Amino acid sequence: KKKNMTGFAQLPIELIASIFCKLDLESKLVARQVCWEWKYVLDTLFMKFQVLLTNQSMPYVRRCMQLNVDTLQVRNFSRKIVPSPDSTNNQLYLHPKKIVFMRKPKTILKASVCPENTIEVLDRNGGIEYLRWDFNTLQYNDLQGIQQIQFQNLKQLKV
Amino acid sequence: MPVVRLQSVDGEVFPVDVEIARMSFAIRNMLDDLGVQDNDAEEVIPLPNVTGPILRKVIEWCTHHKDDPPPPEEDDTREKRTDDIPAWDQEFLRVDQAVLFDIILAANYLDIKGLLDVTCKTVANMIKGKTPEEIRKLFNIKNDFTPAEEEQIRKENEWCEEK
Repeated sequence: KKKNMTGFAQLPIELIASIFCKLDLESKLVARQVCWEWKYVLDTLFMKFQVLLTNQSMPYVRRCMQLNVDTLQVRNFSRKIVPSPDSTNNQLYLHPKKIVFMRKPKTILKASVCPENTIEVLDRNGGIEYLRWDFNTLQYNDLQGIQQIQFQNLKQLKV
Repeated sequence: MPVVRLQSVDGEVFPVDVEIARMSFAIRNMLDDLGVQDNDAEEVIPLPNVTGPILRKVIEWCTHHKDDPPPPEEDDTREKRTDDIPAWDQEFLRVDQAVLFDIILAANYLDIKGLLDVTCKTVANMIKGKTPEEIRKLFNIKNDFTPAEEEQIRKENEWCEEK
């Protein structure tokens, strides 16, 4: 028990979480507007963020990079395969409509910012050689079957 | 019926039926660790985190619920419901906010799942359907966001979904 405090202030975070887990999504979204402590508890334990990647949301996405992100999901994108001359190093360009950050407490994603406003993710295990997003290719053109890719245990994400 | 004596932090001693006291998993473990026999009626269990008035409330709740079936296994859909608080519990928890929070802390410390569940639901019901400002007023919480941060959080809400 935190001394000399009353009401919510005296509850340890795990009890605040026990109360918040009884809330529906709508109430959780209101509750995260109450104060920093509530926002922190809700964001780390209950919420994930689904961001429409646009010029407007880019500053927000950049800030997300500095938070604790464990998993990045990419949903609903168009793709284009750029063959290399010898066909051994084809690049798949994916233009995402949504990216989802799964946050988990106490895991830090190492992120770096490079000036070209591009996101590059290398995933050599999932069969994709290369993933590149940039501002000029964010138009949502043709969806060709792929619905979602999830990258776990991200080591680095460049924005 | 064998009895144990529970002593609150302010020295009040409550004789309680063992079967009711054992609804608290913390007390159950203490009794098991002490190897208390049924006839050890003089055994006093000190509860340094619970005051007399709150312990009285907790014992009252446990006494009323002593014949309840054990709570079902965790279930996400059940977890979310807050409209299933029994009428007796609603009346029992019609108390000052300070008392309600003290009961939550006591239920957590004593590890009484049913009481913790129903008190958390009661607080969740106090949050539901209110604006952030109404919630702050109700629980006397200081708004530590700047107007720009408030605006940003409202925008973020468009992107939030549940895990």
